[in-house]
Amino acid sequence: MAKVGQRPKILDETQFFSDFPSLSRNRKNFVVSSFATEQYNCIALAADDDRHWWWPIDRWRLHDYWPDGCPEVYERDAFIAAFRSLGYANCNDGQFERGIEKIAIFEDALGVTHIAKQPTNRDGLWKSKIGDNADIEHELRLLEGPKYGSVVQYMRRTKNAKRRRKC
Amino acid sequence: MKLSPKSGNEIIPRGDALTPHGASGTFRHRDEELLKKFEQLADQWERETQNMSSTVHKSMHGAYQDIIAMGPRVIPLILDRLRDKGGHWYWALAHLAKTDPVPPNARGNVQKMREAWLKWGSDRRF
Repeated sequence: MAKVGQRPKILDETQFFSDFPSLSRNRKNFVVSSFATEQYNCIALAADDDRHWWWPIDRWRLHDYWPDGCPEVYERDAFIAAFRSLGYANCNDGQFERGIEKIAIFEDALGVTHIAKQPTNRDGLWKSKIGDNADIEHELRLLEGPKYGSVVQYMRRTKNAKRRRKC
Repeated sequence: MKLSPKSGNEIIPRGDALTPHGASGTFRHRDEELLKKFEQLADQWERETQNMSSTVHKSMHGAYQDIIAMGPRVIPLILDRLRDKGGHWYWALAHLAKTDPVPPNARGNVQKMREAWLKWGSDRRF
């Protein structure tokens, strides 16, 4: 949440622009929209939750949040199942559709790295929580690269989709 | 109060360089070396993973694994760092301490997880 009189900013710009070389240093192709926090991550942001860190492997004692009954394995299908429980269904692209929310799942060689969300009210811009860092608004492909890999799956949901947060 | 690797004798193995049984004069020297190495690795880990959401990627990072390889004597240093700067130290702590004070209903609540570990450390006088 923004504090009065303070402007949201990213932590450690040198590392940030090294991790995301397609984002411009003069901020022309992205907007910083929150302060940095470790209270929630990109999966939580995509799930409209700013109070938990979501990740699906509790058997490692990572103790991150994951919806009840959803598979707790570090595989793409576990993320897809969790977002199905929030009313999303797989779709073919990230084209903006009025009234439709979309998410994009990123993977690198190890597995899922990131999820970005396309809200209904930003004319096709995507929103991402960058790890422990800030939230940004951006064009989707600008986050592809060494840190997050590339987009491997899109999902969409309508405004009235059932959201149970339970598999 | 700064947490010190001198405390927590039940976790530091006897004969380790950091136990009170260490030779006088070398204790401080080795203590400082340990602290320096830990802080270098922790700074590197924090810098290189702060833009990651994946707890798996964070935990598999080389610097994080190197810290775990330093053994239970770094537990007080991790707790100190956790208190001052936060960070996803929970897997390392659980692995090194062979216990886990985080209650099931605190899953994903970073503040509660942090409080649980700091209380655990405080109860053991770290």
